[in-house]
Amino acid sequence: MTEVGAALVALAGVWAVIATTARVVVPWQLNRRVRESLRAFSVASELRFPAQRGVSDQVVFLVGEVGRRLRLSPREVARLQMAARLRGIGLCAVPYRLLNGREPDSWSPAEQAVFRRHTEVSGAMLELLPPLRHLAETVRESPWPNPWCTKEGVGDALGGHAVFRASGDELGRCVLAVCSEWVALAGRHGRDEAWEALRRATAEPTTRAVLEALEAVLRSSRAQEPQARRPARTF
Amino acid sequence: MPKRKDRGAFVGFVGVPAISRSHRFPGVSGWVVVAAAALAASWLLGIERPAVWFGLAVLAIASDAVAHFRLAGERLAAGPTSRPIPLRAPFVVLAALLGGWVPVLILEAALAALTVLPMRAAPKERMKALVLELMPRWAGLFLAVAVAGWVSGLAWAAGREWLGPAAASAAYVSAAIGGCFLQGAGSWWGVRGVVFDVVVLIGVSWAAWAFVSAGSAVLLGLCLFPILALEALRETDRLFADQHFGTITGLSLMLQGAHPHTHRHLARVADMAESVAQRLGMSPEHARRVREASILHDIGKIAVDEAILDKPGPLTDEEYEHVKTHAVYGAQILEPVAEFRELSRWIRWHHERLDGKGYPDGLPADQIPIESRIIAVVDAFDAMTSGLDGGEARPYRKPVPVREALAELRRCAGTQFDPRVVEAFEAAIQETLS
Repeated sequence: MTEVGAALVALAGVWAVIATTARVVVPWQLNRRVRESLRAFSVASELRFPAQRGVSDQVVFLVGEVGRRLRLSPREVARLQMAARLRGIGLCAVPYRLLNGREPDSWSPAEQAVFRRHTEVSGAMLELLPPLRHLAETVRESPWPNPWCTKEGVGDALGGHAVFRASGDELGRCVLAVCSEWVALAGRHGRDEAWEALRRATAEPTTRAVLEALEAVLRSSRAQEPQARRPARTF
Repeated sequence: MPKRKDRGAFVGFVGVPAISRSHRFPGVSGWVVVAAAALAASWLLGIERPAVWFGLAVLAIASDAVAHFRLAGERLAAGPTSRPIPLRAPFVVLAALLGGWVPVLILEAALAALTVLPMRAAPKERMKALVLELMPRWAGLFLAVAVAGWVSGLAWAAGREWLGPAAASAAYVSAAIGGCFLQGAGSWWGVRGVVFDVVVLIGVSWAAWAFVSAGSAVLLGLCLFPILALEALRETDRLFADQHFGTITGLSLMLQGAHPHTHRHLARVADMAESVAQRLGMSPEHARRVREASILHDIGKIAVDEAILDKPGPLTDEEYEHVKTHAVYGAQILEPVAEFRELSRWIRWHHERLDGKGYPDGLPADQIPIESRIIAVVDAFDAMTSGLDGGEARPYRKPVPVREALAELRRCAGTQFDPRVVEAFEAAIQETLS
């Protein structure tokens, strides 16, 4: 082999290493770091409001399964799962004693309004974080599992079913909304009643399709019963 | 196979810049190291043409200017945690010796005026907007002049003096400014910056092949293209940095949402803790980590009832126990993030005392990390003095004058606080006050 040939082989080797780094190693590291950061946000939120513990994990799991069943792209599913994880970061602006140790039924309208604002707060916070800014709108416009969801219907306290109508325009947001409402209702009222409430609240074809996908996921062995809410702290 | 000294040169070309990619030398442009390695390799290979050296020096200076531009922007965004190291001076001297002092001085002044000074004067966003506005108008011109300059510089290297140092000088300015415009402007334009580098280096290799020798061209290809790829990976550095600061900012925003008035406390503690860390002989990188830990040291207060934290009167035992949980919660919040795992230990123990009476673990003195001790001192001082500057005082305590707060730190040195840290803190605070 000539010197030039040996040099070219060496060059190819170096390029192979660099390409592997750029295409495999770096994206993997970046994804891992993002996942870790999201986990830290969740832990912070759950430590403030222990009653919410595990809610994000369940919503993230269901969003992934339902999204895949509805043939959303892996990229869109990953984006929705990140949004599901980040929806709670605005909860830190909700007064500690509102969610800890008090039943939502006893909240005044002003307190309900304070709670309701937190998705807006989450969105505003994400706007300030360049790597997560693209999720701000999804988070801002998606409802949170409402502790006051009743057996009579989802989101009654929010004024009818406006949330679902708004989400019906976009399949992804609809998946996020349905999964999160199901987790909220099932955690509070049990699986059967949650299911009935969701059925009553969904009239649009998109939402119905999402609901059917959710039903299929829940029937599969991988879906877990929503975690029972832990007792709230008394401070 | 290449000869032994050629292999050495190859390792020098590829290995040294690769090492420089590590974050231990945040201010050093990879290209400066490339040039240093190239000069060493030229000597090893017996290349004695001064013009080759000159060309490499020009490359180094131009690329170092790009690094200056980027770091100035990062500094504006991240605070004074990274400082470019002025390594270009030797290359400026070399260029001056080969090309004359007057043109180099003029070009240096022009470069400073056109790139570095406005970058330092203007906020990053405004600068970015300016760059994006200027980009489409001038980039083509810079590109053309740069390529022409490089080719002519290499022609000069091959003995064709009719193009001479003037063209190489034009390439110097053009590459520097064009590179700044292209690489400093953000993600999409950053890609174009890499394309810009590729075009320049293709020109260099082609010229080397055409005017010097085939061996030189292969050498340039071997050395410069992989390094160029490493430079392309710089973009990933930006992504990692965004992600890193995004996590810190996100957690800080959460704490701010729960306890809005803690924000200024955290900023003050972070500034002072970094200064104390540097005074204690820690490296800038280590001091930066201490700064980050200080920003996040109260993150566990997200999980503490704000009504208790802001309670005007004394706390009951139960309430105090609740407040004390913030150290453990802080560590728990940071635990999932691998890059903050070390910080989580420092934060968990920032209320430990040398006499073993601290919380949450009651550690003996020899097990309390120095970083936790720094945060403890700075945090205590700020807690005592907050409100003196007209800001919000703690609801449960009136602000104490600085002199009294320092006396209190001295009194507690050896039992609660590390005497060395107290001493360094006093020096830092005296400097700040003076």
